[in-house]
Amino acid sequence: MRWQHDWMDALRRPAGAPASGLRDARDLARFEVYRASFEANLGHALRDTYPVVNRLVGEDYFGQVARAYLRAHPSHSGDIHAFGAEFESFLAAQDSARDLPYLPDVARLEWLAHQAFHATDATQLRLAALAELPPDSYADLCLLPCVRLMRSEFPVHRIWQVNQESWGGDAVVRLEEGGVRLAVTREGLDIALLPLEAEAHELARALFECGSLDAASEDMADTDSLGRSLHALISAGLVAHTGTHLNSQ
Amino acid sequence: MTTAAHLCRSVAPAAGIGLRAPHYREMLARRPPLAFLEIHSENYFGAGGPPHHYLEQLRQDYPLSLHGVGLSLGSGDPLDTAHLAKLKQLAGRYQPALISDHLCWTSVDGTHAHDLLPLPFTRAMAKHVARRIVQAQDTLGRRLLVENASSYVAFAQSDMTEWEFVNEVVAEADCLLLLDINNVYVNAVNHGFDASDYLAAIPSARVAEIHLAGFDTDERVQCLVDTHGKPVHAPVWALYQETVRRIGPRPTLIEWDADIPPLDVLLDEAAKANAILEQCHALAA
Repeated sequence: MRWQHDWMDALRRPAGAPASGLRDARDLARFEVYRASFEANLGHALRDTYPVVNRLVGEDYFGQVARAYLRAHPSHSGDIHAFGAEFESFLAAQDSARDLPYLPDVARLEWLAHQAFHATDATQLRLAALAELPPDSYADLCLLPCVRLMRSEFPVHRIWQVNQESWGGDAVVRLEEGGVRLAVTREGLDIALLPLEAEAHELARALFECGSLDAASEDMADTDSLGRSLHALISAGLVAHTGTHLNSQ
Repeated sequence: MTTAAHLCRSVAPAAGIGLRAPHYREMLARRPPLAFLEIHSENYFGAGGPPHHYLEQLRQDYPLSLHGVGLSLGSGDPLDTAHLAKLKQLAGRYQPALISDHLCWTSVDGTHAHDLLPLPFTRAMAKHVARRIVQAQDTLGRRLLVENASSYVAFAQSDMTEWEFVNEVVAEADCLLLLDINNVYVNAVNHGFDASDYLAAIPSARVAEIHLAGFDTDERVQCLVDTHGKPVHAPVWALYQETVRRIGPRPTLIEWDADIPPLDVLLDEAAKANAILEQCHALAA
C-alpha cells in the first residue's frame, strides 16, 4: 500500500500533504490536522518521559527539539512507551548542549527512570532475611528488576530532585558538587535515586550485566570488597533473590 | 467459587469511564459505582510498576475493557504478532470483558504514527482489514470489538459509504462493533452526511459497546477534531439517545484523554449516559 508510505513521509515533513490519494483541495488542507496530531501525540509522550529536560529547556524549545527528534528517530513500536530511547544522544548533538552540558545526562537519567517505573515487580531482600538464606543460595542474589545504573560527571540526581514538582527546598544546584554514581530504582510506587560508592556501584554494574551474584563475582577485580559492597546494595534495597522474584510476575 | 473470569466476562449495559493515571488514587479510595473501566491496553504493556499496582486492585471491583490503539488493523504491514502476544498476555492477566481496537491504520514499514489514521472505503480494504481482525481473533481466542474511527479527509478511491465499509468489515470478520457515536457525528459534519443514516444502517446485534467523547473544532480548516478533551456535545447526546432507543442499551464509555478533568466530571457524564439508558429501558418496559 504505497499510499501509506506517502502518508508517513508527509506526516514526518514540516508541511505538505501526501503526494496522492486524497480527494480534493479541502482534504489536502485538512491533512494538517493529522500532522498536528502526530506531532502532539509523540511530543506529549516525549514530555511525559522527560519532564525534567522539559523544565530545564522550557516548553517552547522542548517542542522544537521534540519535533526534530520525532523526524530523526521515528517510533518503531506500537507501544508509545518505547518511544524516546535515543533522546539523550540526540540532545548531545544539539546546540543546546553547549549551554547545558549536563542535559544529555539528565535525559539518560529520565530514560532509566522511565524503564524503572514500568519494570517487573519483585520483593526486596532485607538484610535481616539474608541471614536466613542458605549460603549456597547467595549465588542467586541479583538486582531488583527495576534497578538501572548510571555515572555522570554532573550532580544529575540533585538536578532531577530540585526539578520535581513536589520539591519545596532550595532549587539551586552547584555543578561543583561534582559527579555521581547512581542507582535509579523504584521504592514503592515512586522513583528513587540512590548515590552509591564506587565499589558498590561496580558490583551493581556486574550484577546488572551478569544477572546473578554467582556470575558477577567472577567479574569482580577486588573480591575483598565484595562483602562490603553487597552489604551496601542490600541495605539500599537494591537486591532480590532470584528464587523470590520469579513468581511475582 | 467465583472466579475472575466468571465475574468479569460480561458488562452490564450501563456507563463506564476510562481509567486514567491522575484518577488512580481517588478511584481506589471511592470506588464509585460504574459498569466497567476501560484502559488503553498499551499503557499496561510494561511488566510491573504503578499502572499494574492500581489496576490489580481496581480489577477486583470492576469488569475491564482493554481498548488498544496499536494493532494497526488497516496497515499494509504484516500484523505485529509481538504486539498481539503482549495483548494476549495482558488479557490473560486481567480477564477483560471486552477487547477492542480501531478501524484504522497507525503504522507502515514498522514506523508508528501513534495516531488513528483513516482508511479508504473500498471492498478490497474491507477484506484486508477483516482478514487481520480474524487473525487477531484467532490468536486471542475470542472476538474483538473494532471501533469506527473519526476522519478529517476523504480518499479519491473510496467507492462506498463509511457505514457500508464498517458493515462489510464486521460481517466478513464476524467481529463485534464498538460504536463511537462522537466519531459518527464528527465524520457526518466533516464529510457532509446525515449521522442518522449511518446509525440506522449499523447492525445492532454486533454493537457490544458504545463510546461517547467530546470534540474540538479546527477553525482554519473547518473540521471537527476528535480530541477526547471536552464534555460530550449536545448533538452527540441526541444521537446516543436515538441509538439506544433503536438498538437497546449497551455498555457505554465516557472517553476523556486530553486535559483530563476531575473524576467527578467523568462521573457526571457517566450519570447522564445512565439516565438516557434508564429512560430507554423504561420506555421499552
